[in-house]
Amino acid sequence: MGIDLHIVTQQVVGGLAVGCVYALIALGFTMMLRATELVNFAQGELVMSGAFIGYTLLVVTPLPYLAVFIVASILTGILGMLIERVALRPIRMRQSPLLNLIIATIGIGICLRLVSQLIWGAAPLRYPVSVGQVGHLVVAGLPMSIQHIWIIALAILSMLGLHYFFERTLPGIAWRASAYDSYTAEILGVSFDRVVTMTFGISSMLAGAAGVLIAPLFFVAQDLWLQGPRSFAGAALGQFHILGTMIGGPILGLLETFAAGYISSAYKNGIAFGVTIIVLMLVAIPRMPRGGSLVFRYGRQSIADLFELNDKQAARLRYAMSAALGVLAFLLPLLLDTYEVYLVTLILIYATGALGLQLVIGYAGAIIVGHAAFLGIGAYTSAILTVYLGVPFLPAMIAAAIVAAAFALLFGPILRLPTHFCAIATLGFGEIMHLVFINWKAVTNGMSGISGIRKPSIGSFVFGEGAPFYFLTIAVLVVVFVALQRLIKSRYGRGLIAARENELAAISMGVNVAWYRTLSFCIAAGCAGIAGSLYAHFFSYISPDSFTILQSIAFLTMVVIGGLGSFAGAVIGAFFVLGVPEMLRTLAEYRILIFGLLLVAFMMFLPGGLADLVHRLLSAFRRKEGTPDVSAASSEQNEILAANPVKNNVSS
Amino acid sequence: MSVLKIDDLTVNYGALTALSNVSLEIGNGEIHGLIGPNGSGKTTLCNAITGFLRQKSGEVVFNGQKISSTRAYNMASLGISRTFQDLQVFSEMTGLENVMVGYHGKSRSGVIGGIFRPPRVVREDSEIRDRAYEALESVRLAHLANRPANRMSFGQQRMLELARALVSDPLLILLDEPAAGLSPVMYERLTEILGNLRSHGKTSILLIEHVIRLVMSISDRITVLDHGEKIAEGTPEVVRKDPNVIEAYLGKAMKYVDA
Repeated sequence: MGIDLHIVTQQVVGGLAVGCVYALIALGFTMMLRATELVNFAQGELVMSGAFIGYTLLVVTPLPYLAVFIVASILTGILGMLIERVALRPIRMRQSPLLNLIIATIGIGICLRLVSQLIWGAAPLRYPVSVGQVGHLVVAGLPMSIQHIWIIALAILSMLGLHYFFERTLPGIAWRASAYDSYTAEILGVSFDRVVTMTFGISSMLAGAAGVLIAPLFFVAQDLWLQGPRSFAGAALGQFHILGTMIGGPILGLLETFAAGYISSAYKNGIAFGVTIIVLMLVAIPRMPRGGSLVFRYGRQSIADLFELNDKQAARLRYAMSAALGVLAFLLPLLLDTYEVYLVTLILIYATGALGLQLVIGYAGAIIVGHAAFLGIGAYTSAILTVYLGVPFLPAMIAAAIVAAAFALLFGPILRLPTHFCAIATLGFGEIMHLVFINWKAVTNGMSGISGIRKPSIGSFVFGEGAPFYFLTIAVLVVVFVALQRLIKSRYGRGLIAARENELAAISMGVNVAWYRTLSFCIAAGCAGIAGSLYAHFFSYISPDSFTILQSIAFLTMVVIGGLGSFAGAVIGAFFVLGVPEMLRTLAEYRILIFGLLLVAFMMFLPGGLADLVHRLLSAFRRKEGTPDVSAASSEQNEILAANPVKNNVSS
Repeated sequence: MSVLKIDDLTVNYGALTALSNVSLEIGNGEIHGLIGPNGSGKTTLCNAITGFLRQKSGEVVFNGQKISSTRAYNMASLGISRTFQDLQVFSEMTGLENVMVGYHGKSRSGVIGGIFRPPRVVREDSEIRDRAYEALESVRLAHLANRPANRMSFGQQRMLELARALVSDPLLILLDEPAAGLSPVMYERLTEILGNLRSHGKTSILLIEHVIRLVMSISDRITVLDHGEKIAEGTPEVVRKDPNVIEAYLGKAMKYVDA
């Protein structure tokens, strides 16, 4: 017999159980998108929080599982509302772009993960499950896990509760009205702020419920958070409708189970992300041809404009600054000890990758959360070429850039998605590539990684550890920096920024927006590929663990904290992101928590990043010297006063 | 010879017919007014010509070339440019940069050129810069060349859009309600610029406008749309007296014009 009915039954019930949990988490995403257009990247961490809270309740209190399920859900719901009120509302009130909110939720996610690590530890915990949940129920001669049936029953009950809330209660109807048209609803007395708080409360409750349900199936640990982004596929399958999501979740669960059972279990964790990418591409692109570019509200004048320098003075200032930096860079190995040189080199490698990311986020206006994948592609390309095929370093590095760019070209259509969908799709891309690094053993050598990567050499000169490698890295960084700086000032750069500012107008002026964005993605990937090549030769050893979502988020943080739309900012951001934790080393594990808090705080108080801080300080200094700024409004009045019929002078 | 020839154009939004069997011809150097009540399909026609909407049937021929299936981003290089009903400037870019983007369709250099800057690219760039500056001067915004567009007044932004559309020396320019919301001074400036364009005779204009005074005084010919159909066409005098037009739309406006 080819197919064992017993096994199939177990798979179906198991898939449905996991799928129902996905549906609960995904309902949170759907509600959030409906009401606020935000993708809450902390949703997965709320699932994790629910699971941990449930764990403590089960261990400390005598409450039965059912009561714990309810109490933990409510507590997680309160946690969600707190997060919204304390951190996200102030950002929303400043009318910040969507990107800021998304990044703040990423920061909140980091904080939640680390707080949970401080409270419950990093080791996986086994859920204490009550006796009634173990064993099998036999229906029509087919065994079904009682635990799975419990999960399905409770999840369906929760969804029915939600349905009742939306259909029969006044707040539920008010919520629907606001989700449909928040402006009109506000006029009719439905406060949008309260709807947002309610949305966070309910979606967090659902996440908490999902956490308590799914925890007995797995160990409880920080990596439960990945259930969040994975569940997003359920919402996508359900077309971001409430009822659709309730069906999309179980479909996703079944898809995963059967694909794992009959195709390949190695890529099981990637299936959901694959589904997300495919569904978003098929559904979201045809519906939203304009894409969703970000709104940037923090325009920076260049320093030359700020101080009203003429071109010659500006050039002189640029030369002076470059010369000072050059001397500093040259003397640095003499001033620092071995470890510090090592650290600075590593930061410069990351900065090279961050420069590329700045192009695509800061200038093209798309959010990329999977940048580490390109770092990995570059590292593996370079490692394989040099170690197995004996290719010299320089061609290997160039090949690394080209291969990474080719991957970006392949996935380029992702950039046509609206901002928040682009973020989740690229996160999925990063996770899928991570799985490829782990599982494509013939090429990547799996988890054991590739070792014995030799230090780079050009001709007979070997860039050994310490100063030589440092100088190689800084040379590469300078080349990439200058190239990107030139690029953004070129015709292509103007077109790219124009497309970010106003897609419709840019197309009318002849900018092939979709292609320009794809190209920026390829260039960004190329930079990461170069960085990856350096990375491989720097450590002499690479493994899949170096190229995960954590590194991707680190890249994103560098660009954001450094300041969007500033290449120098990306480099400063890299020093900040990797350097500050080093300085805080005495604080041990708290440092990453501080780091998540910083991310949120930056979004709350300094959304323009460090580059903006420098600029604000300079303008304050400038204002002290005193030159009153002519406002836009008064300048037209001046013109009207001075209006005299001058002949139109089209000089030929 | 005509610069733009539209034959039996029909455009649908789902089940709704936004334009049905509209034909239109614009001669070289002609200023062609396009009027009609709200929702009569003027902007739809504009979007269909510029490739943002696909027609259900009919044909658009520009400068002897079918453009019914040409991509929107290729229109600029063919020589069609436009302004928008609701302001569409590049807010964070300076006045000069805004206008430089207007020359995008007529210039060529790409990523490689941008990085390595061979003499060809340097020349092209300085040419774009000079032309953009001239265009800014022609709408008298040269003094705002370095100011970000979002720090300009409404009228200045409208003029900026105009400069951006003019910088590429287009054969045809679609102006979608350029006079809406302009102060008297800016309005004067607009008529002066349109007058200059007309006397140069190189650029044809399709002028969508609600300010009847402007359309009637400057257009060579006028097309009137109502509910997606063409109900009249001809010189301002002919259109002014057309009973269909008076019935559909100009009844009230005529009194205003005569007054």
